[in-house]
This record gives sequence, structure tokens and C-alpha cells, in this order.
Amino acid sequence: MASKDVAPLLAREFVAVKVDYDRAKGAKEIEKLYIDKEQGLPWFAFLDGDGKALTHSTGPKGNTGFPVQPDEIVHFKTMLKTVKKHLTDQDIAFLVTSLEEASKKK
Amino acid sequence: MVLHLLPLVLMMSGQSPPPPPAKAPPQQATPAVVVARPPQAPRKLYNDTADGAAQIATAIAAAAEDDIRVLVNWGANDDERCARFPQVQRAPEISGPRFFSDEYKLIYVDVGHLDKHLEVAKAYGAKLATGELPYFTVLDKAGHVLAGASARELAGEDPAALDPKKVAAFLSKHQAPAPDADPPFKAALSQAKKDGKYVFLWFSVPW
Repeated sequence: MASKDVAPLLAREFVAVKVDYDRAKGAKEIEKLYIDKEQGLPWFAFLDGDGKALTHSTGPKGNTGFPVQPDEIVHFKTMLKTVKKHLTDQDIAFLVTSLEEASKKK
Repeated sequence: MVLHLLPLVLMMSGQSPPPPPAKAPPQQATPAVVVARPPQAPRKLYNDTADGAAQIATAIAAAAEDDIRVLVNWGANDDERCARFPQVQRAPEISGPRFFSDEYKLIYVDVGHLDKHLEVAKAYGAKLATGELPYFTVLDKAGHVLAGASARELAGEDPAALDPKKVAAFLSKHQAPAPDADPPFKAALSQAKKDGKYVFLWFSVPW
């Protein structure tokens, strides 16, 4: 697989914005809109166009950050299924498989 | 825009190993049995087989991802002052502000005995001279040269050693201004609403 396979899938569903937590002015203020205590980095959330968080990377066992462990990948899959509008079940399965394969290389 | 998620995309595509967990698990005590390993040659600071131009291009792309700067360290493995640069990096003046984790993508380009990568160095305005290595060039995220300094300019009372205070001042002066999180955040919300998509809000740091 190549990133050219993964990136377009994510772009189909999301507009991505990365906030440099340490350096960016206003990063902490944006964080406070969505989380009330530090979760570790990276941390991410899926928002609707009004800025409402629909789901985020803090799973049952804490922040999944980069989903690597099986339970983290399960949480990421749940996140995708929560918001899916443009992604198909097949797309989500592909993304999950990508994570599973990447985690095996660890 | 998905490039902002480049680490995740690379990991999912198998081009990058998964990073360490967000919160490191507690360290286990060192096992009592120590397995002897054959001695390994120390890792070379300057990759003497790398393509310097490609190294710089890769660093610029990475710096652009994080909106930070590139520091090109032009030098050679058999130059004592070049070889001691990692010690300078560990000085509190340098490690404290986390220049090389948060502010700069640092790359080492091998110039041998001033007989390698000279055209590349010239293209980036690096003034290489005997006894003045390493030479440092600061590039912005578009690859434009912002500043340069030789080891002679950054040396302390001992001309054979870099002065961490001078190096820190040089790095601090030329680091990128702190980005403003609000405009891209609002732009992403606006774009998502317009396109009927969601926002993938990702908090991270350059390291």
C-alpha cells in the first residue's frame, strides 16, 4: 500500500487541520473547547462544520493517540463509523487494515 | 489538507513505523541477565553516501508540514568540531528550548574534505572553508535561505569549540514565528461546512 491510497480516502471524509500544541498561539484555547484535561499527544477529534465534536481519540482505556494497539484500532474504527458520510464500510475496512498492518511492523 | 495528517497517513501506509504511545508505560526494571553484543561501529553523523540535495529536499518537506525551519549542518565526520556537535546539542542552552525537537529539522550534509556537495552548498549560499566547519544554513519551509553562520562565527573563547550560547542565539533569532492556530482552524470548519465534510482536528507537536 502507498499513502496515495490512504490520503484520498481520508480527504473524502475530512478537512484536516493540525494544531501545533506547543508552538501555536491559541492551541490551548481550542483544546479547552473539546477536552477538560490533558490527554497526551497526539490527540484528535472529528468535528462537524459548526465545530461540534462528534467523537475523539480518547477511548475506554485513554487516549489512543496513534492507533497501534488492537483496542486503539477498534476505537479508531468506531470513530470512523460514528461520522461516516462519504466513506463506505469497505473504505473503513481498508483504513483499519492499514493500521493493523502498520502496527505489525512495529 | 490531508498532508497535515502526514504522520498518520505514513503510518497507515506502512511507510513509517508507529510512534511511541501518547503516554509511555512504566519502565520495567533492567533484567539481571545481560547479553553480550558484538561491538558496533559508531553511527556516522554525516551520511557519506547520501545525496545532499535529496536530504535537504526531504527536510524542507518535513519542515513545511510543521511550519518550522530547516538547519543544514554542513560538515565532515573526521572534523573534530563537527564530530562534537552532538555535545553542543546537549548543552542546556540548546536542549532547554528544544530547538531540534520543536523548531528545526536538523540535517547533516557531508562535505568531505571540501570535495563533496560543493554545488549544493553553493546553491544554498553556504560559505565552506577549511577550519570553519561545521557551517550552518537556516532555510524556511519553502527552502529559501534565511541565514548562515560558520563554526568560526559561533565559536567561543576556545576557537576550536562551538559556544552553546552563540549557537542558541543564532537558532533563536532565526526560528519560525509561532503559528496562530485560530485562522486555519476556522478555515477548516468553514471548508468542511461548505463541502459537507467533517474536520479532522489533530493536536500534535513537531517531534
